[in-house]
Amino acid sequence: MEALLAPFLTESLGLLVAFVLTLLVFSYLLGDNPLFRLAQALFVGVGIGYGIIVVFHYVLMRRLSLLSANWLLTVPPLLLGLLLWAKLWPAWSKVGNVSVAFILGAGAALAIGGALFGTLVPQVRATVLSLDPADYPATPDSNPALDAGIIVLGTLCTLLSFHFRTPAPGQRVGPGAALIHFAGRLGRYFIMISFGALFANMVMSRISLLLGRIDFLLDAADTLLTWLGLG
Amino acid sequence: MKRRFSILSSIYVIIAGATGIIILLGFFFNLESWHLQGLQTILLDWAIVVAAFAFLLGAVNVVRVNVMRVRQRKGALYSLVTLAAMLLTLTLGLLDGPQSLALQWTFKWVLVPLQATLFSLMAFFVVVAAWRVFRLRNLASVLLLLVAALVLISQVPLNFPWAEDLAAFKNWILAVPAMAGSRGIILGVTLGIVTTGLRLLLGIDRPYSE
Amino acid sequence: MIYCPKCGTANLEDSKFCTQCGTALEPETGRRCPMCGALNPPGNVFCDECQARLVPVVARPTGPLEMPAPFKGLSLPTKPLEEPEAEAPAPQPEVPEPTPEPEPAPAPVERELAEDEEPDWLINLRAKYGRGPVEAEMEAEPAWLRELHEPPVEEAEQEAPDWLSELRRRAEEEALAPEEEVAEEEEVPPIAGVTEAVMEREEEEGEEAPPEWLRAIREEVPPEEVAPGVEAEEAVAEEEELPDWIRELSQEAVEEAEEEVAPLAEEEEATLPDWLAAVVPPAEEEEAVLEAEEVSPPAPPAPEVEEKAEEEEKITAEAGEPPDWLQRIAPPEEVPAAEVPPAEEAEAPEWLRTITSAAAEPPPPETEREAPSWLQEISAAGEVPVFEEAEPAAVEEEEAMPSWLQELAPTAEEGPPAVEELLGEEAEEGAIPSWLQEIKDMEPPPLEEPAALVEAPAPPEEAVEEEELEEVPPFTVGVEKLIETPPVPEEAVEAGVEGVVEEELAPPEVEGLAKATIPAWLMALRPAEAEKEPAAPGVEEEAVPVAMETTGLLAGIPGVLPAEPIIGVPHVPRPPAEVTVPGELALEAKLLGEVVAEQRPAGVVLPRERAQRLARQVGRFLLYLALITAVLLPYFFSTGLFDESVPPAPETEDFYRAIENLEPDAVVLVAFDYDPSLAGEMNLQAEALVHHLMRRGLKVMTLSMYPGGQALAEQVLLSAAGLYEYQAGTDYINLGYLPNHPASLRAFAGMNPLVGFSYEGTPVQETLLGQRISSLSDFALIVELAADQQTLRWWVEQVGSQYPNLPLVAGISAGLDPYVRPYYETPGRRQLKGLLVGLPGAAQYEGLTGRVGRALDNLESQGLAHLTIVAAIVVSNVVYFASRFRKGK
Repeated sequence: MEALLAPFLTESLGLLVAFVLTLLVFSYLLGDNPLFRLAQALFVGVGIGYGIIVVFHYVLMRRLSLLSANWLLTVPPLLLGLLLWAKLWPAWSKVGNVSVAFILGAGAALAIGGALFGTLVPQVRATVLSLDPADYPATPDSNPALDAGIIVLGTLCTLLSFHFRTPAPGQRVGPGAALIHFAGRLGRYFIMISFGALFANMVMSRISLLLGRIDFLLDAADTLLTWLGLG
Repeated sequence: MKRRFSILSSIYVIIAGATGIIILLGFFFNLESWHLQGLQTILLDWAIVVAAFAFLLGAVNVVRVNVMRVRQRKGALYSLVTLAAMLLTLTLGLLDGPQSLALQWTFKWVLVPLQATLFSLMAFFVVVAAWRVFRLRNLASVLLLLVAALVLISQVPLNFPWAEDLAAFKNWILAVPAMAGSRGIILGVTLGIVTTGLRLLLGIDRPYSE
Repeated sequence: MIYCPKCGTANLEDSKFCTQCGTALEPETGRRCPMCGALNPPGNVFCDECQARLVPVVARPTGPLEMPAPFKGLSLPTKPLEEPEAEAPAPQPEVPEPTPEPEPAPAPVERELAEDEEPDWLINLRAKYGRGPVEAEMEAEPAWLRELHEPPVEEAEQEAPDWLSELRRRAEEEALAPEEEVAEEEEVPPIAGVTEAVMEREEEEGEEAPPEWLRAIREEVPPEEVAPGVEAEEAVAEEEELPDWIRELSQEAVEEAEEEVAPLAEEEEATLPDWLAAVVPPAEEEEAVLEAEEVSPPAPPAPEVEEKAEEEEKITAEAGEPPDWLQRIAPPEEVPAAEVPPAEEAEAPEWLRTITSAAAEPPPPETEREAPSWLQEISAAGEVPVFEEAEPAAVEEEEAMPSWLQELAPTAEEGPPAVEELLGEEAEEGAIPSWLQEIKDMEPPPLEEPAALVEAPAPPEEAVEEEELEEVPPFTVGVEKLIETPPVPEEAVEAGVEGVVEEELAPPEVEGLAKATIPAWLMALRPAEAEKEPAAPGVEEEAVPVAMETTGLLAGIPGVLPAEPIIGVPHVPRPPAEVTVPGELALEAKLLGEVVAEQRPAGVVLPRERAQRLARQVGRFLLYLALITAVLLPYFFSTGLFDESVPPAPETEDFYRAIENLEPDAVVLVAFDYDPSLAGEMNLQAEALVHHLMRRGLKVMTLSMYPGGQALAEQVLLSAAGLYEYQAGTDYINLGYLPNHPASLRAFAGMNPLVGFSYEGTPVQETLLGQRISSLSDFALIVELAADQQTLRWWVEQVGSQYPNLPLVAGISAGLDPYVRPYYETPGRRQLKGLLVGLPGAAQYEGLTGRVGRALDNLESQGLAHLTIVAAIVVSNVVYFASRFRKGK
C-alpha cells in the first residue's frame, strides 16, 4: 500500500491539499456553507482515525507487548477494556461497570493524591507569606510586603466568594456573616481581575493561531504561484 | 436516594476503593517497603490500557452516530465523508503503521491544516465577542475590561517611552492580583476534586453503577 | 393544638400553616431544611446551612382572594360596580415596574368579624328569600362569567382591577339594607376569601375546629402539595440566590467562555474531574471533534449569549413580580424554573425559553382533587398559597396552553405553539389566571360548584333557617350563627385578625341590578349531559331538596349539588364532558388564538428585523476585515509601533536561565502536550526551545500526551536536527505517545528503568541515549509545552511532587496563563521554575537566545491585532453609551 501511494503523496501535492483545505475552513467567515461542513466532516473522520491508530499502536500494541511476558498481567486489562465496550449496548451496559469502577477508582486516587501534594499543599504554603517588610530584600521598584498582603488577601477573599450567597432581603445577617459577605464581594473583584487577564490572554492565543495560518497561507500561495509560473 | 443493598454494587465499590487506596497510598508512603510498589505499577498500567479502550470506545461511538445519521438521511453526506475519511485513515495506518509515509502525509497535510484552521477561526469570533459582549455595566465589568485592555496592550511591547512602565504594571497585575484570584479558584477547584474523589473512593458516590 | 403565632388561631397539631392567616407554623423542635436536611431553629426563614427558604412565601394575605366573605354556599355577593378605579395601592412587596393597567391593589383591609356583624350578603339573602322573587337581588353574573364574554386574556388585567377595587370598596361599606340590589359586577375573589371568612368566623364563634368539611378540604391539600411548593420555593430561592456575578459572568464571556470558562466552570463545580470525564467519553480526538463542532456554530453563540443575557435579565426582573392583579390571584412566587431555563438553554430560541418559563408558572389545579378544585384553589390560595407551586414542576408544556382555549377551540391546531408563545410573552404575567383555571376545572355541569354556595343559604328567614338546618349540609353549620347576627356597625369593623382580609363581609348592595342570567353562549357550551336541564334562568325555585338549583343564576339546573354532604364522598373527577362548541364560538376562539399568538410565519422577517440582521452581519464583516487588515499590514510595511527588542518578562527570563544553567550534555525531557489545534502558537515556542537546546548541545527526549503531538514533535525535531547535526537515538529520541491519563504520567514517573519504544519503534533501552536514563531523576530538566491546563497540572502534581528536585519549566498557550501562574509564583521552591507565555513569550525567548524565529516575525501582527481588539471594545462601548445617552434624551 505504501509503495503504491508513495509516488503520489508528494510534498507539493500536500501543500496544495493543505492550501485548499485551509481555504475551505476559512470560508466559514462568509457564512456557514457546505464546503466548510465538508472540511469539518473530513477533519472529524481523519482526526478520529488518526487517534485510533496512535492509541491502538502505541498503547495497546506496545504496552501489551511489554506486559506480555506474563500473560497474567496482560489478560486482565484487556478483559477490563473489552468489558468496557459492553457499554455500547444499553442492555449489556452493566457489564462494563467493573471497568468503570476500576478506572474511576484509579483516577480518583491519582486526582486526590495529585491535588493534595501537587496543588493544595504547595499553593497554600505559597500563600502563607510574611507581611513584614523586613523579611524581604529591599527592592527599588516593588514593595514585596505589600504584594504579599495583596496575595494573601486576594486568595482568601476569592475562596470566600465561593461560599457565600447573597442574603435574601430581610434576612438578618450577623456581623461575622457580614464580614464574610464583604470579603466574598472583594474576592469577586479579584476574580474579575483574573478573568480580565484570562480574556486578554485568550485573545492573544487565538490571534497567534490565526497568524500561524495566515503565515502558512501566504507561504503556500507564494509557492504555488511559483510553480504555476506566475510567482 | 435509597439503594438496595446489592452485592454487585458492593463489589464495584470494593474494586474502586481498593485500586484507589493502593494508588493513593503511593502518594503518602514509599510503597517499596510494603512491597506494594509493583502492585501499584501494575494497576497503573492496567488503568492506562483501560483508558485506551475507553478512548476507542468513544471513537466507536462516533462511528455509530455517523452511521445512524447516514441511515436516517440526516446530514447524510457529511456523515458519509466522516466515515469514509476515518476508514481511509485507519486503513493507511493499520496497514502500514503509524510511521508510514501515507499516514504521516495525511497528518501533515490534511489533519494539521484542518485542525489548526478550525481553531484559528476563533480569533474572529473573539473579536466579534469583544465587540458585542463587553459592555461596561458595573464595577466588576469595568475591572474586567480595564485589566483585559491593559494586558492586551502591553503584552506586545510598544515603542513608546511609557510602554516599559506599562509592561511592568502589567507584569505586576498578572503576578499579584490576578494570580491571587486564580490561586483562590485553583484551591477551590482542588478542594472540590479532593472531595469528589474521596466520595468516590468511599463509595458515597457511585457513578459507575447505574 | 398549635396556636398560630401571628393570629392566634388554634390549628391542628400537624398543621404546617395557620388555617386563618396562612403563616407557617413551626414545630417546636425546629424545622428541617428540605434542601439540605439541616435542622434549623423554629424561627428561621432561611436555612442556616444552605440558605434555602424554609418558609414559603405567603401570598400577601391582603389579596382579595383571601377575602373572607363567609362561605356558606351563598350566591356571590353582589354590589353595583361603580368606578373601576384604582385605590390606594396596597403594600405589595414584589410589585414590579408599573404595569400598564391601573393598580388598584386593595389594601389589606382587615376587619374583625365581630360577633354581631351580619354580612350584607346575608342580609341580602335573607331579604331575598323573605322576598321571594329571585329577581329582587339577582346577583349579577359573576365576574368570571362576564369576563368570559370579553376576550379575557387581554382584558383580564383591566377587569381584575375593577373587581378588586370593587372589593375594596365593598369592604369599606357597612351593613347594607337588605333591599339593596346586587351589583352587576360579580367577583370571584369573594369566593376565595369565603373559606377564610368562614374559618375565622367560626373561630370567633368559639368553635374549636373548622367544620369538618372544610378541614377535610384543607387536609386534602395534602402536605405533599405543600412540600413541593416549599421545595419549589426553595428552588426559587436557590435560583435567586445564585450569585449574580456568576450570572453576569456567564453573560459576559462568550464562546471564549464556552471554551475556557466552561472548562473552568466545570472545574468550579468539580463534579467530575476532567480525567474522569475523559474516561467516559474518551480522550482528545473526541474532544477535538467536539471542539470542532463547537467551532461551527460559533457566531450564533455570540449574539445569542447577549440575547440570552437580555432575556435572562428580563425574566429575572419579572421573576418575582407578576402583575399585581395576578399576584392577588396566585402566589407571587412564580418562577422556580423561569430562571433555570434561560440559564441552561444556552441556545434555545427565545420563544422556547419563554415557554419553559411559562410552563413553570400556570398551575392548573388538578381535577383529581377530592374537593371541588376551585374551592381547593381558593382555600389553598388563602392558606396554602404555595401549593400552587407544586404544579409548576409537573406542568408540561402542552398544559401551558390555556385549557379554555384548548377546550373551546379543538380545531385550532396551530394553537398550541401559538398559545405557548402567547404564554411566553405573557409569561411574566402568569399566563393562566386562576379564574380561568377555575373555568377549566369546572366539572360538568360547569356551574355546579358555585351552586354549592348557593345551596346553603336556602333558609331565608331566621326562623326558617333554623328549621331547615337539619337538612342543610353540615358545612353550613356556622351559617345560622352568621345569619343570626345583626349587622355590624361600621366603626366596629376594623383590622381585626391579622392577615385576614375581611373585605367581603358586607353584603352586596342590591340596588338597581339586572337579573343575572347565564349568557346563551355559555349555556350552549354546557356539556351534553347538562343539556337536558331546563335552560331558563330565573325560573321560580322549587323545593330545594330536589337537586335542582332554584335560586340564583344557576336556577333551573338540576343535579347541581347533591343534598348530602359533599365532603364525605370522595370527589371522583368526572371525565371532561363532551362539549359541543357552537360554530361561531369555535371560530371566535380560533381567531382569538391566532390573534393572540401573533406567530409570525417562518421566513417572514419584519423590515426592521431584517435591517438589524443586516446591520449585524455587516458589522461582523467589518470586524473581520479590521482584524485581517491589522494582521496583514506588517507584511507590507513596518508600522514601527512595537519594540523590536522585546524586553523579556521575568518568567521568560527564568525559563531561559533554567536552560542556560544546564550542563552541556545533560538530558532534557520535552513534553509536546499539544495537538495541531494549538500548534500555531506552541510550535513557535517549541522551535525556539529545540533550537536553544540543540545549540547548547543538550540531549533531547520528547514525548506527547496527544496523538498529534508526537508527530508534531517529530517534525520540530527533524527540522532542527539537521541544522545541528543531531542524530536520532544518540542525541535525541522521540518517545512517542503517552496515553492521556494521569496514570500514565505516574507510571512513567515511576518507571525504572525507562522502558518503551521510540517513535520509530526502537526499544529505548537499546539506544545510546536511552541507556543513560534509568529513571526520571536522570533528567536534568523537564520542559512541558502545554496547551491544556489539565496536562500541565498532571505534570506538576504527578511528576513534580514525586521528584521535587527535578526542575520543571513550562511553555504554555497564552490562554492558560492566569491559572498556571500560581504554580510559578511560589516563592521559595517554585513548582515551575520558568514560564513562557504564548507568542510574546516565545518572542522574548527568541530575543534572549538571539535567534530570530517565527515568533519575532509575527510579533508586529500580533501587536496590531491586539490594538484592533482593544479599539473594538472601546468603540463598542462608546457607541453603546452614546446610543443610550441619545435614547435617554
